[in-house]
Amino acid sequence: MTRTMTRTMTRKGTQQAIIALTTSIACATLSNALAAPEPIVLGAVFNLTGALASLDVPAYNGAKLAVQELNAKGGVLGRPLKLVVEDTATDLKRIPAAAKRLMGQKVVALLGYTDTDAVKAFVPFSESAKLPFVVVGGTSPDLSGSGKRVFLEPFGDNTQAAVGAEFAHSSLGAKTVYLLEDTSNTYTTGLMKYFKDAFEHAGGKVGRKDTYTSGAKDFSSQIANIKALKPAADLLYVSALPDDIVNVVRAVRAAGIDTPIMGGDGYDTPDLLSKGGKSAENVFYTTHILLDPENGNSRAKDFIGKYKTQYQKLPENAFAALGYDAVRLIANALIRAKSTDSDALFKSLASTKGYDQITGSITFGSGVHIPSKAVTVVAVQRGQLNLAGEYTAKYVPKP
Amino acid sequence: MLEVSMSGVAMRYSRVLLASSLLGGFLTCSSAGAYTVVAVMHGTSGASGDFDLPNLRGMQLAVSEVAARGGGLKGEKLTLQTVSPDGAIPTWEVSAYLLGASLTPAEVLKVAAATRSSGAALVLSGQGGAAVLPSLGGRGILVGFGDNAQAAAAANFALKHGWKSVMVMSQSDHSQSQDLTRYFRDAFHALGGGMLLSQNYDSADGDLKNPEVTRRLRATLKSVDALYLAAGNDDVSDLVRKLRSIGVTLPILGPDRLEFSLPSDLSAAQLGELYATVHTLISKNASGPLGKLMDRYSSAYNSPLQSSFTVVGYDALQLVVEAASKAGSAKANAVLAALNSMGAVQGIVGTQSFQVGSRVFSTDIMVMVRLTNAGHVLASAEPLTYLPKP
Repeated sequence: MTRTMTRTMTRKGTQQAIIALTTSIACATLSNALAAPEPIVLGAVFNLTGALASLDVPAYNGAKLAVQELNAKGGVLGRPLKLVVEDTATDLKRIPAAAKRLMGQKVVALLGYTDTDAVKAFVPFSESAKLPFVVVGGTSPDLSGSGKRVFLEPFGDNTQAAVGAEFAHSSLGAKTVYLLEDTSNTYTTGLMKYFKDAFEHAGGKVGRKDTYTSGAKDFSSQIANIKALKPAADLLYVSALPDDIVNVVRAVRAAGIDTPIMGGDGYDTPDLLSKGGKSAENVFYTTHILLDPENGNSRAKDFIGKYKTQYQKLPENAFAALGYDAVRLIANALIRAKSTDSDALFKSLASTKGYDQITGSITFGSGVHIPSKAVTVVAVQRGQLNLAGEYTAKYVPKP
Repeated sequence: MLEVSMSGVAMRYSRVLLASSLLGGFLTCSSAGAYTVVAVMHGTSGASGDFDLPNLRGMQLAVSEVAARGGGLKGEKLTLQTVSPDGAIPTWEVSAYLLGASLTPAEVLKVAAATRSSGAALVLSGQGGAAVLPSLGGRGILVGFGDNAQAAAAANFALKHGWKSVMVMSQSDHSQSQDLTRYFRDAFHALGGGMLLSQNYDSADGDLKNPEVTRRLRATLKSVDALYLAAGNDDVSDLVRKLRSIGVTLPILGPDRLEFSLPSDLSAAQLGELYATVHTLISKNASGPLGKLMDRYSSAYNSPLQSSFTVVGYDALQLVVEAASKAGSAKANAVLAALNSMGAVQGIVGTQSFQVGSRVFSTDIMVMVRLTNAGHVLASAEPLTYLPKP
């Protein structure tokens, strides 16, 4: 009896315990099901207005597209991604406040900017917060290294300038070059320094170098110098920001100079064709990819299709793909880290190896977080952007 | 009196023997003649045969002509002996060596080393000869034209057509192809060309099997006006066919190698514009010395003369005969000295003369033809205005 009772009690107790436990689990599950997992927040900083908008808006669009695509597939680590953005309006003075606002939103990583000066102004804040910062399009090789948590999605300016120099010398047959540099910007001055180094290394000569300041409209003195140059320059290398290159190209062509003009990825703006018109003929520039809907590789075609579906237009330039790639680079590192902890994420990003993306494969070396990607050269011919090749530099100037 | 001896590679030259027999009466066994010219060649079939068979036939026709006029030099016997570069090469009583157009620069150097004791001239007819001339110890002489000349002619032709952006496709594992690329690049820029892109391919991928290579090529070709095939020893015919099949409609230019490379299965529309430098225009309507040579070729070989390498072979042998005549001796050193001191020489390909600073007998007029299913059509014939340094 007693035993029976005990057994009964025990059985009843067990049943009750099971019911209680089951109820508890069911409630917890229901509760969990009702409460969506906490999103992983990525902080984005871009110049969505102002002089750099033609690069940063496509980059931001690319980033948004990547987040949307990853969330549609279940997010990362079982959690959705959330992209919060700050527009610093091509004004460096706005960066501190924007950084403060971003840091207050539990961000686990940062991404953004296509300009070196903006990146430089933002990095102290990202470093102070010990957050990894993936630079979408800033290309100065000085941005990374020295233990910083800064990672470049693109190649460095020394690499693109080197490819430009080799292309100028070998494919365009340029022996003497005229240099025109915007002295107001770290990107333009750095790019010029590396181009000159690489061009002379390739055996070319600098006929003359002139300067201007971003926003200039009058290039008459520089044009007079170009015309007076003997021997005549085979190439004009103009290191310019996107807002200025159209003005330079128009002024040079209006003066009757049809010499090839070359520059860096600052030229990769829709304005070059839409505003430059016929003046842009015979212009060449280095960039990250030419998003060719007809002859692009399968990754590029896939991206072009998604971008067009989302925004009802083709990607404006390579920066759209860089923005997309930057988000996916962080997502890939999060998955490998299996954590959103900033230290774990930093280590995971730093160990990225052979990660294939639209704009090339990413491998970060020890201490230097700049990938060695191939550089695309674009030629403007017959009113179109044409692929002139994808190259790896033989000689890369040291940063 | 004439003797033509076929030794060494006789089995590989069955087609030549058959054809040579049509010459009637000229073939006898060799004896130690005082006037022996040795032709060093590969086989007469396959890719090498494209060059060597017509080349050899030209030499044979020249030999028969010399015999018909009573011998080359005071009635001595003229013996044409053919050997393989891979076999034993005679060095005794040789007046000169005629090296087949298919020999690679490495093979030319090998032949030069094997025949050094003879002191005889090495007369080359194309195929990278210009690049190795400085390494032949003063014995090398190139007839026809050098690759620098034909690449420059093609660059000039492109620019005259307003093709200011050109892509050069080079065979990465072939030295002559790389030389042609270098010469074309030099001339293109020197003559005012714009953008010159390069695309390497190796012989294994000669038919562009790799879809990624094809995609990139198609994308990049959108930015150029024409394509220069710096063709090496691969089957250019397949390459042309593949390029057309992936939608490349650009004009294609190339060196004399293209003369043999017409994809016969393509229609005229599919073939598109295809141009090549040739040593002379082979036309049904040819008259004068070329017309006579074509008639004699048809009689001897029962087929029409189609390759300008026949004419080069003919001219090369006649050049040696003329040198021997000028020297008054068929001895190797005398023939070589005479060759080195000859000025302008009238050959069937045109007036040939030494290019300044080189050892190349080059024609005064560079000919480019459009290759069509109906034969060669003259596209351009003009002197060079710029010659890249070898």
